[in-house]
Amino acid sequence: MNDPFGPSNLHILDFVPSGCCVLVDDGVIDFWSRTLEHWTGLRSPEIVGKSLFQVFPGLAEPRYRDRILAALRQGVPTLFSSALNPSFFPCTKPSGRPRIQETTLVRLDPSVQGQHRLLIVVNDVTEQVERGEKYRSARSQALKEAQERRESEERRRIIADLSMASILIGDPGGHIREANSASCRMFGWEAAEFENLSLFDLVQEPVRLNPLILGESDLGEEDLEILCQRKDGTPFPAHVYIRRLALGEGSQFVAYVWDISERKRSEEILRQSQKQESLGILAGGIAHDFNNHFGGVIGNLDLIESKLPPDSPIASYLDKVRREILRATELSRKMLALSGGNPLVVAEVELNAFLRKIRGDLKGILPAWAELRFDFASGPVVVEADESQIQQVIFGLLTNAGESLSQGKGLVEITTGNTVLDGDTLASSFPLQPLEPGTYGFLRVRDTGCGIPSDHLQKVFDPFFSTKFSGRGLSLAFIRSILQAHAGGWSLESSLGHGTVFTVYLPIRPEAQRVSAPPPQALPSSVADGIILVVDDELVLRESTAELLHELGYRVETAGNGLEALNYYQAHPGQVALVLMDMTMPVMGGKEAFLAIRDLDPQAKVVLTSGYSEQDVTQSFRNGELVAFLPKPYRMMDLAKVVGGAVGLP
Amino acid sequence: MITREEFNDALAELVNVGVGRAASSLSAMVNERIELSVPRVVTIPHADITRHLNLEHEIGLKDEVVVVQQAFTGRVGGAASILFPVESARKLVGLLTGGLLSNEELDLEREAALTEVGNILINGVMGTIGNIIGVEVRYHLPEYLECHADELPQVFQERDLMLAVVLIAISGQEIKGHLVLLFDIPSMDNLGAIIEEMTRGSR
Repeated sequence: MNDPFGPSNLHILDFVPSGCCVLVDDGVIDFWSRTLEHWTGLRSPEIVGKSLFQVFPGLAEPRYRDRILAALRQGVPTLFSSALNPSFFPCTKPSGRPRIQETTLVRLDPSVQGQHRLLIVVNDVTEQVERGEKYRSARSQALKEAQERRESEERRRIIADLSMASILIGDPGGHIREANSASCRMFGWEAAEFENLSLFDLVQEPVRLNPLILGESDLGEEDLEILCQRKDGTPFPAHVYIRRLALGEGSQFVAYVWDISERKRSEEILRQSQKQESLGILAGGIAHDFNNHFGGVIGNLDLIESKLPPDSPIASYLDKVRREILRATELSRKMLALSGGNPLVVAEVELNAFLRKIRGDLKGILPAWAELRFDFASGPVVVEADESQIQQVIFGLLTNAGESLSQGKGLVEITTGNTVLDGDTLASSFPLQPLEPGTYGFLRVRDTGCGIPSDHLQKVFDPFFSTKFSGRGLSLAFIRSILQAHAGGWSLESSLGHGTVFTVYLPIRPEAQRVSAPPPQALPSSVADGIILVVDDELVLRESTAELLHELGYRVETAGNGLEALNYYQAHPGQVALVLMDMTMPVMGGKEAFLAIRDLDPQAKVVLTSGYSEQDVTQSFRNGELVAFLPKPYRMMDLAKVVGGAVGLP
Repeated sequence: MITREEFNDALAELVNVGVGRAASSLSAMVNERIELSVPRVVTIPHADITRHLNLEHEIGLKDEVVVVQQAFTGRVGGAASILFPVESARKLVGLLTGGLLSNEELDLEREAALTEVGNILINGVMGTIGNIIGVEVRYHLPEYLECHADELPQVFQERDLMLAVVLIAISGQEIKGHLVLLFDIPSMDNLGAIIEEMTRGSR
């Protein structure tokens, strides 16, 4: 009987592009196709009739053998996949690589009673598997890179969000693509809203950005300070660093924005403070020189007056001259106050009561036709202040208010009250004033005058700034100086044609320096026997002072500087009852001469005199070292009181 | 004529012997202990297969399912299938290939590996049953397919099913699957007769 699956009928499998093998009985090879001969190098005549498990010992392992025999005996088709069994028949490709195989086992059942055969079909899937491996490798690499990119992006985002600076990234047209969380805080826009914004929407001077952002080809960087704006339009100064970066075929900008409002504020406070300090030094120096000259004039006036007959018609002219000099002296005193040289004598001042007390004086400051109204706080407004200086402040404000009123009509209103200035209020409304949060008493002067042009509002506190033809320009600078000394503040609102509101804030517990008022000194009861040594480099003042003392009955000698005084003191031991010493002199100054004289005679009595303020002069001396201080210019009566008091001391 | 219960018990026993052999084959491949539950034999409408498998065995055939199906014909005809939730299929391939093919996508090699695993399990069961009942059965090559759990009734060709369900679990790994034997209704009658002959002979 012809066996349809006998070897003579199987040669058709030589033309199949798969490797084919047929087994019989317990695994004896019955057919071995040409493809398998080619792959394995084993010729059919060599192996047909041999056991598969002898020719390929690896297949004798139970996990292969059992399944192969089960397929043969039970007829269950069996698969050996390339993933789990890559080389059913171990062999290599011409390149030397293992030939990877996908193997299928199918039993060939004869149509009539006969022998079962097992057909083993082997497909070469090497290329397919290697493509899969390459794909997996590329995919794995891509996934790894994507993961690294995600992590890098996440790190970049975290770093960007931790940054205090706003970081903006966008295209060369200025369109923003990305913004970190600091940008949201700084500009007030939500993160998603930035995508609809351009860098130009965030600045108030867009024209300054154009060359950098809009230039299509320029890659570069720029560092600039520019005025930016928040979502609500509020401007703020910013430091912006922009860099154009090449990215792919195009480019992007990266902008770092730092809000420098706080730095600017600090710088402005420092600038104001330095300005104030240098102006103070200048003003103090001028005041000092004026005081020296005024001293000479006043001393000589007193001398002239002392020599006139009581009914001399000249006396009234002299009096006018003296009054003018004293007015000039007052100006000089204000200039000294600007230099911070005047110490405060603070006490509790209830503003309502104080205003009621000086109401008449205030009315006199304003033009007769002006209306003055008071709106007192219902409760007391108690501040600690130097009453005389606060009076100067109020007088100054009333003077300005009166001068701003139109001819013939106008109202000035004074309001008092207590208010709390917290940190937020101070930051927003008093940005350039170094005030402490706390409770403040306030005094507000409102007028219906001509108002102040907005471009003048920042300048009105500058010394010597004035828009008035006859103005001296010191008033508001003087007021500011006094308020700063009180640790107080001020606010100024004005609109042209609608009047001005100036509010003064005084702390309930100021940090102002407290100085006790000097105790009154007893007038001298008798003239001393010793010599009064007058030491001053100003010849006119030195001579007038010497003559005034002479008129008062003292024996007087003079010296032009500290060294001359020292030499005289040394040459006349025990004869000098008192040294009246100027502070600022050439060759040897008052301080040095004082120390040298004290070295010679620890009991030496020295009265210092100066055109500078007492505080400036005496702060370098220890308590009790000086007998007294006599501020220039001084009149004959002041001189008599101080010198008499000094020589009278034990 | 044997009762339905007697038939079910006998079939369960046949399957039980077969799965024991299948388990040892698979265990040798993965070097892990394979746990196979006692088979349960039920007859259900084809539409209920997904619900039945989920309710009875909590396998979680909810989304994508991997199916290896091998049909057989003869006096007893039907199909043997292995069902894995796709996550279990991934883990199984990872285990078999030492992690080489553990990426998310199921590619051709993975299909082949899973087909081989299904083939081992199905052959273990069907070879044993064929041997015991001594009936000539012709087997088709195994087929691999992926479908949604809701499409399983179509996979099983819209006919009432005799299910012999075995739960497969591989220790140390959360890999679970079903072995499902489906018999045509006429085949069930023939199988019933064969079993009756066998039981009569053994008495």
